Amino acid sequence: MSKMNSMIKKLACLLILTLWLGSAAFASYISLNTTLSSKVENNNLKVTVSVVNKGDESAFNVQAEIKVGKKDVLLSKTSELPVNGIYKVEEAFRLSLAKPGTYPLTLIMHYTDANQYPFSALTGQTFTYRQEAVSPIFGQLKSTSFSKEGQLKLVLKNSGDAGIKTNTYLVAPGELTVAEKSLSLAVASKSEQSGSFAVKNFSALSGSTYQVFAISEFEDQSLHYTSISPGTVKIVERQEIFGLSYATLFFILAMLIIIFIGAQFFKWNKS
Amino acid sequence: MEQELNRKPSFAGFLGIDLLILFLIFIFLVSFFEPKYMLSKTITTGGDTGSHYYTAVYLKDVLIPHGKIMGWLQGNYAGFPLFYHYFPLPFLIMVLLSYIIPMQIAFKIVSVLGVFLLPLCVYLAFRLLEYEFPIPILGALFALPFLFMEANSMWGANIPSTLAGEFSYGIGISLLFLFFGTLYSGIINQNKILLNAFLVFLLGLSHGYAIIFSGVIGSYFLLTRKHFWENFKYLFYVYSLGFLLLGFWIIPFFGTLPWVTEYVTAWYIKSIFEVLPRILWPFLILSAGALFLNLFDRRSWYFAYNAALCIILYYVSPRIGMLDIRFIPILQIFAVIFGATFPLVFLKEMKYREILPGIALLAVALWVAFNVSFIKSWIVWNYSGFDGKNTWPLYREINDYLSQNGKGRVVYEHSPLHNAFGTERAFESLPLFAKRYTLEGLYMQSSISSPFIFYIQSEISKVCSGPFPQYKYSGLNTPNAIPHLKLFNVTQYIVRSPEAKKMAAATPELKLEKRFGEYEIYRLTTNDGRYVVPLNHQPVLFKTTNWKRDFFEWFRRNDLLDVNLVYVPDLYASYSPHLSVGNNNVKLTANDLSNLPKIPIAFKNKPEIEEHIGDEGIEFTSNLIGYPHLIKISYHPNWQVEGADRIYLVSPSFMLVYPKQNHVRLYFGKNGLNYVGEGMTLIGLSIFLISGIIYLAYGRRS
Repeated sequence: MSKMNSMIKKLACLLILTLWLGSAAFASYISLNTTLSSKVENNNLKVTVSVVNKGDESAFNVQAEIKVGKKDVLLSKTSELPVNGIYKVEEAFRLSLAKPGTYPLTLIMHYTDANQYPFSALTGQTFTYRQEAVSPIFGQLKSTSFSKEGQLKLVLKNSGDAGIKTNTYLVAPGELTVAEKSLSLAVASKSEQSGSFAVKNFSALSGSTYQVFAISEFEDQSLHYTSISPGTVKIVERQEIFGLSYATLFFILAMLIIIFIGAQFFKWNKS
Repeated sequence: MEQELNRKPSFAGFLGIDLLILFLIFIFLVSFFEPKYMLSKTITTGGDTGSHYYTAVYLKDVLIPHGKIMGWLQGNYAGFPLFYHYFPLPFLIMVLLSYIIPMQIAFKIVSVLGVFLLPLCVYLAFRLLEYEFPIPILGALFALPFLFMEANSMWGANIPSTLAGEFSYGIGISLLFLFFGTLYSGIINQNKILLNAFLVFLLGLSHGYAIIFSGVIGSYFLLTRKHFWENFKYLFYVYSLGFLLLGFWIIPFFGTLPWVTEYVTAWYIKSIFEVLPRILWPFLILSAGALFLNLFDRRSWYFAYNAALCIILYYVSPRIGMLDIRFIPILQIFAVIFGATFPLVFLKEMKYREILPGIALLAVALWVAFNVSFIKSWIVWNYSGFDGKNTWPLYREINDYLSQNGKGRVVYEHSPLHNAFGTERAFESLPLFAKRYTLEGLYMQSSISSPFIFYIQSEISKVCSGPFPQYKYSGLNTPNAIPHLKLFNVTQYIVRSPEAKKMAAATPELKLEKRFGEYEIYRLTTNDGRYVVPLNHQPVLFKTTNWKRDFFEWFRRNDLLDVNLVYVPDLYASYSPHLSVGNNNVKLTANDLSNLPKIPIAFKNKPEIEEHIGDEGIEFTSNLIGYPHLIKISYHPNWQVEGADRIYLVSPSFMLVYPKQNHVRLYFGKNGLNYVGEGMTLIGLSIFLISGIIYLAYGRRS
């Protein structure tokens, strides 16, 4: 009977230990819903940016930055964008492009929260200059997560009949630093090619996810092509305690539990 | 071999494991409170914490050099008594440390002291309760989920509350759990009277709710017939000696309670999960199991009694003038650490119990890590300091400007956007950074002026905080605020929101003086920045049973502000010889605000007043002998006067004197309560020292 009691106690102990071995954070947030539209008329690109704050706290120092080709323009800034407030700007660019085709247009929305922490949100799309050019390149930018630095892997698939040499660059928010200015990838017909960008956390916040774009451009004799591959970078807290990874700690914990329980049940010979 | 396996490791072996785990708990905490922030020479910010820093500096630079712990602080709330109704122990430790290390670092270390002390105090409490290894070290580990609980940041003792500025409470609660152990041990063994009395003294200087609950802990030992008188005698010695030691602080505390602003509110808890968040669940299950398994262990009842009293006090406290929510953290700690006693019934048969602390350490650390989201970033925010923010140059620029331009007080619009400087309360530190007095401050209950100041805040801010539920507030109405600002000797107004800027720009008495980024500073052109002014109308002795309510009503009505009300407590009402002007012997009284006599004062000479405002004194020379002079500094019974017969409390919450001579000096001194309290402390200290010497000389030998 006492052995049974002892066993029940041990099982109870085991049950409690297993029960031991998941947080919800409720905080204000800023969510900028961005609409980027463009229209080419003659040699002018007219870009319209409309941003609505759909979060539950105001965004501050809201400013749009538009990149078209090598042109990089900062548009007017608004000191505060309240909840449901609208920020709308327009800008016209004089285009001097060598070839017709499809070109990239990127928008970086800069803003700060109430604590003046800077953030940026990216939007990427293409615009057509004179003639539509459908890119045979399809890209996939594999999302990644890291604490301090990581790699963003890019896979390009060429569905065309001819080999293509692309020039790919990564558009990332200021919170991240990209080591490579651009990647030059030769993708044979009907095949895939991969490359990677080394990305460092400059001032990104743990728990935040950042949008990035890999923009692949190439030209043939008559047209300019652009392919945009979106991806994300999630910044995570370093998962270490006492200098050991969580996995190691779990392993040690499991070992200790096994040893401890084993020791309770194991009968040693008196000899 | 079986016997070998069932061996009991030596006490030294267990102690070694305990010390190792305590060290690892310390390392775990340090991994959050990173030395690069904690040991950097920046001024801590975040929540209330930023405003506490000036208190520590003031204690060191002004009060301690004058041989005082409690005194007067002019910088906030039109002046208020510092440490008469707040707890000096953490600040005294900061000052002591600051003689060895920079004040900025000393402040940081003490501000997290409660966090680091709790596991240690819980460990010692379990040891003193004579729980066997490994229960004490499990108790210390089980304090961690409470510390890292993110469900609230205002109830106290957990890390978010500590970061919000409630470090005094945290230190008090840590010491309370030590007292929980020492009192039990002392009563069982009939020793440790001096230690327990000293702990009562420290608890009193740490936090009010800590010392209140120390009484609850003691009451447990009176629930016995057999040992009642024995225990009563013990408790009497402990509490009376502790009370005597506390005399210098607690007697003025109680004696000046009429001169505080009450803040009593019943906390609204939305969900039971606020009280019992997920991070505590495993430990609550263990505690429930422990209670079931150890029902007949008398120590379990000691835990259960105190936990039950927390619940009773939570419900009773709003009815007896206390803040209910302060008892919940104590309950939560009891509820989680008691789980450490779960293995108690298994210990006899348990083999290799030394492994258990290792398992618990890893399990608790991983559990905590998986349940923590914002604490680390908040720690970085606080301890990178004011000077570590990218807005520091702007904040510095505003402060530098104010330090060089203007006299009188500076008021600012209340705005969450000030948080960009490190805390919404950033401008409460104007006395520190700009050497200018402002209105709002941290210790709102300590001042009788705070209801008026929060009313002004509501008039000049787009968003107001309105902390006192018993008082009414206004909406943004800058023109209406002008007479109030003048009354409080405000000369400059810092504005942030577009709405308040627009209204300030449209108010004729305000002139835009300077712009700094999104901030604008306006000057009140109709105020010359003087703290001592002659009254233009005869003051009226107002007969009331509730001067705070009536003076506040008077303040809200701008049509009444020309006639100041004087309040003399009933005891002195018949003796008011200076409610007269010159030789006219005019004595005005009223008991109804709608019927105040309004009699202008005709001065014989053109008023000429020179004033000097010091840290704890006011001196002025005036050519208007016998005329009522308003001093725009909060009244307190400790203010004393030379050159006038007495100081009157005058509306809104200021001082009024009738000079008998040209030169008048007011100073914040000591009154009878201080002397009685200090006398008690001296007696207590004598008893403490003599008893200590006797104990050292004879007690140990016997």
